[in-house]
Amino acid sequence: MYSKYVLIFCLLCSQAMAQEITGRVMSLDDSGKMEDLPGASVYYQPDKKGGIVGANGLFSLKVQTFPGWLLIRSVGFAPDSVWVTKPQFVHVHLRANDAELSEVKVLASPGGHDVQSIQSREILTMKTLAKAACCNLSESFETNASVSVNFTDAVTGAKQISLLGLSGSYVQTQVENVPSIRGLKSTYGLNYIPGTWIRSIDLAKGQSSVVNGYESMTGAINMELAKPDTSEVYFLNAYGNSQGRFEVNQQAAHKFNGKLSTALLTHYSQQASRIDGNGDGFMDLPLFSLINVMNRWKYATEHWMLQAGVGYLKESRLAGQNSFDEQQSNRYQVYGFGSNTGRFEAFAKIARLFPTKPWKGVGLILSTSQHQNDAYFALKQYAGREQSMFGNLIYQSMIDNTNHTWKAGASFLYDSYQERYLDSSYARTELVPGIFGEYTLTVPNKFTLVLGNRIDFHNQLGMKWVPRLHAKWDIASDWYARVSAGKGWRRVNPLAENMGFLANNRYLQLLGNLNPLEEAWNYGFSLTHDFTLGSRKANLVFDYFQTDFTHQWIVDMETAHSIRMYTSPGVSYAKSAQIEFNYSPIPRLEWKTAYRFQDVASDYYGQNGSLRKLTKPFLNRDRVLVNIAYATKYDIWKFDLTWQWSGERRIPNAYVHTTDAPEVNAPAFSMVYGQVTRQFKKWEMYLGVENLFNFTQSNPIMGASDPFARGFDATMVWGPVAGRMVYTGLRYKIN
Amino acid sequence: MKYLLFLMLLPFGLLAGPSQTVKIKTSAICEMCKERIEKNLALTKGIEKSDLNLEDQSNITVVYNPEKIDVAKIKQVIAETGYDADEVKSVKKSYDKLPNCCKK
Repeated sequence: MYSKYVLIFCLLCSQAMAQEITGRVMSLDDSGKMEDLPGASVYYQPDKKGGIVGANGLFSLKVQTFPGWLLIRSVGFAPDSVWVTKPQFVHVHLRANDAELSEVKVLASPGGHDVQSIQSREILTMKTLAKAACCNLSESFETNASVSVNFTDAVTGAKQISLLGLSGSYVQTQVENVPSIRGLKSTYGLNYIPGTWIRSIDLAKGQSSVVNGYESMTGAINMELAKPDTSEVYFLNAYGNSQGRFEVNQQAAHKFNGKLSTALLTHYSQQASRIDGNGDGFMDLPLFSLINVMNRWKYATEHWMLQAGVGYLKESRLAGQNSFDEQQSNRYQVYGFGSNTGRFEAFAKIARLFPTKPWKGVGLILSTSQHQNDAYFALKQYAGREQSMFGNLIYQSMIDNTNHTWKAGASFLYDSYQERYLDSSYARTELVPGIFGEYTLTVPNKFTLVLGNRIDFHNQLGMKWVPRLHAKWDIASDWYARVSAGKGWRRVNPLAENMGFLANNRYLQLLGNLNPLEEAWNYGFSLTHDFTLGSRKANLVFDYFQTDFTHQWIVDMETAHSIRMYTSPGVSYAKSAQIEFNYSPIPRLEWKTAYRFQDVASDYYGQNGSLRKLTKPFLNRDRVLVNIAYATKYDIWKFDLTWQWSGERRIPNAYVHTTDAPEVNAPAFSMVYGQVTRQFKKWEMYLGVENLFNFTQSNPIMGASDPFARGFDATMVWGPVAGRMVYTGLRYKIN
Repeated sequence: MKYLLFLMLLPFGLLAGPSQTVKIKTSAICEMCKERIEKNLALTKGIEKSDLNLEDQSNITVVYNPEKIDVAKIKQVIAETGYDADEVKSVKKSYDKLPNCCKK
């Protein structure tokens, strides 16, 4: 009887409370200006009920349960929430989202996967970057499962990253959306971006936005460097390691007033001692000295943002046989490698902002660079010059409300190359004007779709059309699915991208009618699941990507004594699957485990012109990465341990002259990295080790005893050349 | 034997010294402020433990070693972090650097 009354009472009360929350959502800027925000989404938590703000900025929601949180969000604004206790009219003001706020949000997601992004992307923040304290971009990926870094050869010290089974040339690498590692810079470019300058690395797998250009084929890397207005007044980093490398990074920033600020970034590093751990008579690491300087300015008002900067770098490298001396040695008798690089860069970015309409904006990016490199591999001489100019104009706005936004614009690239190798000269000028448009559909908290198209007119390769699609579906509040598909293309720089292959005595053969165009379709999907494991946060990410080339430049080392380059005669593809598990079992302990599988193969010319499908050499099919990071309270001590296991990989059979030689495999190996950091009030100190178990490839240079004979080959590198390395360093800050 | 062990441990005991506790009222208003003050104190020599209670008028309880630091110095550290500590006003330069959500 009693329970019956309760039931009736409850029915009554819930009926009585089936009432409305109404309200108005507006934008608010610093000067106090307000405007209606149609298209913003409102979501009432207790009833799991959502709605959209209408054209007049008003909304209404029929709800039952009180009290509860009402969440309000709109693209380009910082989300807000209101505590609602009764049916009432609420007035909400959203403020424009600034970049720093969104960075904080990213930090919160375990494993560094960006939950909100439409693309499958990972953000490497300063915290992640500090886990591997040494030294430049090429070493920033030690704790990352998606990117691997390899030496291209055992002499020059040049490094290549690989993403989704393909080399760095297919990854569009930009610094603050300005083209960076491309053209002649691609040879040693990874070493030219000092780690301490980097504030964050945004790694997008699969296709990236058409707004940034046509060159991304397997993914894109965009780095944010230290900004004049948010950097420390002074920052110093000094680093030294057991192999004789020494490094000093200094940064200074100054704010003249609320609008104008400047920063000076400097880097000096050198490898001064000759190391020959494996006793083959060759230096394991090249001697080098690198000076890198950048000065940048920022001028920001409510309506305008202007950023500009100049950079200069100078590097010299020396490697080869231990006894080699650049001045004194007879280059016919002692094998030597030398390289001198100079580069000048300048950029400017201008943006017109509309504080009450953050979805609207106009941006112009301009950059120019001059690059020169002179190198010799024993008697083979190379010289390269490049002048480049780039411009990108972007306009963005919305249709009706912020759930329909679009970007459109035009870009222009001028690239002039003059190269000399042996007795031949190569010169070319590329002119590439292009236009692009991108539409984004947002169904708040459910679905996002981005459709992009661009058309570019290359003076040598003709007109190229690039369509791209990205979609993100929030299946549930803890399940996300992402899909991407699209095309990318580029023009090869045969010498600059394959410079490492000159460190051998193979004949370089260019076969048939060479087409410098590379073009590929890439499609993939990813699934992200956030969950709790024993009340602690965990997350699982699975992704699969496939790249299918329609045109590719093949570098074929399958026959001994020659390198053959030709246009892909058949299929060429790269498939990559990865599963990653991130878990924080106790506070301040983070644990990452990842497994990656890659299947990359191409058709190569066999004997009599027949085709032979082979897996890509020097690339391992399997990879496992485990990273454990622990910090004591307030990050006073930080510990980091990474284990990387790389499976077997095929290497070209260098002893047999026929193309149908049996397959040769390099063994699997493990690398362990560890680091301890102690923080003090104004400074911190770190001590770390790389390659803890001292694993090295036993004979990285074939025919090292007679470098002038046909059999000499330093390009058969599949593992680490130098052994265990211990390093220490400090960071000092004045805020 | 026991005596010997005592003698060996004595210097450590003397080094650690007797700790003292002080309660200071701060101008902290949020979790971020709490974190920031406690971290800065943790990095300061002589501070053993600190706990800021936002619900109790933002009073912070600090356990410290009087041989290495005194109450005036502790207040100075809090002021340099950008917050008032009892009668010591926050250092303006540090206060200006706080994010908007942490300002009074």
